[in-house]
Amino acid sequence: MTPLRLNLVLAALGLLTVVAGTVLGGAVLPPGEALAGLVFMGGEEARIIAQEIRLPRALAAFLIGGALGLSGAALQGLLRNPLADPGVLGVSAMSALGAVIAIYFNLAVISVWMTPGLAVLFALAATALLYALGAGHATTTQLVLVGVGLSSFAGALTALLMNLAPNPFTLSDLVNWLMGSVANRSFADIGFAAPFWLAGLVMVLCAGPGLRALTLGEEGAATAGANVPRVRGLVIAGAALLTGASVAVAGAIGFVGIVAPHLVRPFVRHDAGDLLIPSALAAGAVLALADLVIRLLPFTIELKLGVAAALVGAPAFIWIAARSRGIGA
Amino acid sequence: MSRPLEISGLTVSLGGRTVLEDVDLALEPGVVTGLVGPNGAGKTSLIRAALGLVPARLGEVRLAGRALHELTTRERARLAGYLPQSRSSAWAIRGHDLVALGRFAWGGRPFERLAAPERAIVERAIARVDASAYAHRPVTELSGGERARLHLARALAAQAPLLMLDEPASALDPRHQIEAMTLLAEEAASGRAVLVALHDLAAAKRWCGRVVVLDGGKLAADGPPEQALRPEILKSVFGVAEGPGGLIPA
Repeated sequence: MTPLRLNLVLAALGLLTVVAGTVLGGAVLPPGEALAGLVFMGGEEARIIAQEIRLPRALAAFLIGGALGLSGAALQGLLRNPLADPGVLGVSAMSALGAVIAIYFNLAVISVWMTPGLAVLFALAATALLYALGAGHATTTQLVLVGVGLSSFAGALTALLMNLAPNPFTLSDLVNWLMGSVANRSFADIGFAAPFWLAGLVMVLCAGPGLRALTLGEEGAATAGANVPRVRGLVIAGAALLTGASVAVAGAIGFVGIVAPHLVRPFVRHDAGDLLIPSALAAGAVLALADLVIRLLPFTIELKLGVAAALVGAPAFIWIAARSRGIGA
Repeated sequence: MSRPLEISGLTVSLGGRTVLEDVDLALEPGVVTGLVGPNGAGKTSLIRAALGLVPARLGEVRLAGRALHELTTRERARLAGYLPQSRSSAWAIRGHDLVALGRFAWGGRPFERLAAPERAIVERAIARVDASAYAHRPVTELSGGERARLHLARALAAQAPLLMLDEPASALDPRHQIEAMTLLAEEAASGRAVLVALHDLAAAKRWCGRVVVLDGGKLAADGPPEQALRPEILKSVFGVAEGPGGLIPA
């Protein structure tokens, strides 16, 4: 299958999941009326539910999945490790810490953009720190180890804030954020994340050919003619923007960035450059589908998207880890 | 006309240890130059320094007349092809995609999206190393020798005026060793400069028009094989002597 045809198929699949997420689910509105509402042909109530409640939620799930899938594919190419994703470099954990700080100190009083803003800022700080510690000559193994340290540190600070939470409401807010969800997200939330996603997308796609060369290792890529420091900078900064903006909208959602590239890789001849866009589309479709499924589940309390993603993603992660040879080599 | 590689007064330190000291070396087009020396003599370091992979503490490296630090990574890749000792691939890409990476400095596309002339270069390189039968398969499913031949094809596909190879014949069976060295002779005959690090002194004698002997990071000898590998050098550098059936400890 050519990359173009694969991308078209996956894009169609993504569109289908978003439309299904808008049309299906909930007893209030039958699918036919919801579809009518989506395309301005139903009543006002149907239009509001379809266009302003369900569509942004389904779209947020798709875009967040896409951003995480793209980050994962790019970081895997850079680190030449099928288990890498924003989590490995500590970007997700730092980003979540930023959001948790905003919630804990109730910074939303200052501005509604404080929580998302801090999430993006901390993701960027994490990557800036990775860069400063590496100072341009760090090997990817060192980057991964620094990422493990960052993750633990951010996790400890997050736990500390939860430990010191002054009342059960703050604690409950923190826990809810950390579990990850796209419920009740609006177009305004998507609008805030969009510029970061777009910048991250452009940066990561520019790194595509370099990631292909990195199949040969860092020296192999450099002697083949790839500018490895530039590729590394583009991927790390791009992944930070993609991940930070995603955490800002939905909290921490793990494993999508690992599973989607793994599913897509055989269809792109294991080419690290051609892997990027299909991974984004596949991850978007998977997350939008996952969000639809948890909405349709007959539980009184809705399952959080981050929890559902981990329930499916973590076993997949273990399976991939057990099957891959020479991890970190 | 400037020479493909000119090294003057090159001194390289790694981790506080001097691995190359005041090395001068200029390569002419049309010659296969063998780079020999005991383990740790600095053969790999010399090639890596010539590519800018390790920084020079003193001295200068010029590729086709241009100082290494003036060149972009892409320009450097177009001037110097390189086959490293490690022949790894992070992903299960197919053989012809691996060889297509040899053309990376000219575009960076995978095999199936290469323009026709580029594709012809890649296919010819694959045919020359006798790898056409398995080039469509994932490299991770191939034997070490088959993979080594594809990496050699990748270095050939670069078509750079300077070709540097680190132990190209290791992991190859005898027939493919001979074929690999014949290919290098062909490359030289077509006007390229070839620098090949070798452990096998007999191969150096047989295939190289010129032999450079490194010992403890310094040039110990440089000249035609019979002269560079004369008995005194064999004894003082390698600790061996010509015996009746081959080399024996001296």
